[in-house]
Amino acid sequence: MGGSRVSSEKGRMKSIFTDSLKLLVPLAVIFALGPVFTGNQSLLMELAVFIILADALNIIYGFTGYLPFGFGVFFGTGAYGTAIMITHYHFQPLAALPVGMAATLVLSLLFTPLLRLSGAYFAIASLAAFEVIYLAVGNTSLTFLTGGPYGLSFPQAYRPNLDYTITAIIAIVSALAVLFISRSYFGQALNAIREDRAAAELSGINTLLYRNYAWMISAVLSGLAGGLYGWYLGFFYPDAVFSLTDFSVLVIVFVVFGGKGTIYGPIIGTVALFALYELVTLYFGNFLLIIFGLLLILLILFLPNGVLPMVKKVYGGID
Amino acid sequence: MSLLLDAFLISILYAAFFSLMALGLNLMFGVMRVVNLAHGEFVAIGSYAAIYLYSYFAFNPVISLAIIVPLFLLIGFPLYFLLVPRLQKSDDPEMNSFILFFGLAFFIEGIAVLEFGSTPRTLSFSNFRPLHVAFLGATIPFAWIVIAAVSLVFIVFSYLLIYRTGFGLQVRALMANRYEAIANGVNVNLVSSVIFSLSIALAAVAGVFSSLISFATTPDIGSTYTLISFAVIIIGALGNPLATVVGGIVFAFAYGYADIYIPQLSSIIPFLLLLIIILVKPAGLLGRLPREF
Repeated sequence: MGGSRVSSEKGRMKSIFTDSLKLLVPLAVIFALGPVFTGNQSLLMELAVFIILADALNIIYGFTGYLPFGFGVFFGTGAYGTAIMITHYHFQPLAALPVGMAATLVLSLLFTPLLRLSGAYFAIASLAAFEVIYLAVGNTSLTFLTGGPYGLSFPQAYRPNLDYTITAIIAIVSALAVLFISRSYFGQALNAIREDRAAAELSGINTLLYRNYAWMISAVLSGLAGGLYGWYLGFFYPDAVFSLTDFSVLVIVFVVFGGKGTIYGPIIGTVALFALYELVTLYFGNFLLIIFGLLLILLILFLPNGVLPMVKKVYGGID
Repeated sequence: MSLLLDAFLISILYAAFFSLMALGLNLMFGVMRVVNLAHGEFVAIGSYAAIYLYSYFAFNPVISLAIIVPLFLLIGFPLYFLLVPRLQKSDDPEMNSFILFFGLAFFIEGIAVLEFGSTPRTLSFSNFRPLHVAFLGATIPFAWIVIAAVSLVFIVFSYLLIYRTGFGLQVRALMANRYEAIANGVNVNLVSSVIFSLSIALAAVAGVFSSLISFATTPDIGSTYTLISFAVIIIGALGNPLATVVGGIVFAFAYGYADIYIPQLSSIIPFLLLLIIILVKPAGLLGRLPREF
């Protein structure tokens, strides 16, 4: 698996080091210079959030093969967990973020039994899970805690520059994390689970444990992205963070477009399609749904494995 | 007592309607193993078609069916050949179909926004006289009884088609084992395209009446209907058309009773029920699918 067929430990470390640089440098440049060029920090903030989400999804979908269609449930939970601590308990945002992550961890443990399902069943069950949490959070009987349909507002914590910097760093760290996971025994085990779970189990991999780890890492990472995003917004309604289209489906599309299960693919897919999405919104706003709908259809019909594997087939070398 | 009876009667009517709405989705999954996330969008455009025919030609929705059903059957064939055969050549058609049909849903929604705007629209109850009928001491809109009756007609028709004809035998063969069916000479594309067209036509039939019994029609209502349809067929059993009716009954009763007794939770309860059922019995109430270890 992967591009590193170097047998010696030293060579392996070297290849990880150069690959890390290949991730770190372009991302750092984009996040440092992006706000200068576009004059729009919130655009880059969203990009960073989407990169974290794409990396998180890549771990559970790309590596392990489970497609959680209601993936956005963790994003929303992280946002709400963080915002509730800031609003009601007057936590500093940096102290509130871990609480939001803990909330998503608990939720992912609660939903672990869903992983017993596979294929379409799992995808739809996760959609139902999303719907239950989304409707519960927006329910009027929880207004005292979540603000119900009226949402939460915490302008006192608003620090866009600090928040953006942290989010950009986390985005880079999560990209590196995906690289390290894919080169580790853990990553190989996840790939084995995706290819053939029974065979993986027979060759001595504790598939249940690894699968659950992948699920939890994925959930906590997207919960963190949600917390950072909610903090950046300063106030939000349930729809703003529990958006099935934005924080589930778009992320899935980004990952598939770039190449699921690859290291660079999800990031390339996110950057390219996010830019396209913003351009279409800006210039052809009325046709956004139609254009993106067509794009998804064409993507699956003609490039079901994403851009990167195709490039690799033609030029070789990249993974 | 009257409240209990009301809930019971309304749930039965809902059951017929929801079963009809979900039936096509289940047929499509059973035969093609693709998940049509745009199912609800076909319900929505069926609804727009009925509203259009009513406002321009004053057609009663039951009459509009004579136009809408053939129309959607005709749309189905080219759409099938455009999308499904190519999709099924990919590595993982089941998962890829999620994204493909989500794209189709986006596309349809986008066109609906341009065409009809985002104002909620409904058909008028005055299409059906008398407005209300008394039944066992409960008063029910007459339209709902018509809707339940039409739904039953289409469900029975689909049942007869699938379980009592030679064509149905081929459909069931494909559902039971795709490869053996092909080996025995079943024409996959022919059977699949007919089922595909039937599936979206059934969705459109449900759509004709959806604005009277369910929600007002807006361009983005489709995803709600898709989700309800999924809940219904998963509670029953994926890929088993008969089980759709069982799922419809369970879902409708959960929804109907919750709506009357705990209205603030009525939207959550059916999905909570779905989650519980899928965790306890992943293959659905009537399913026999082996579950992973």
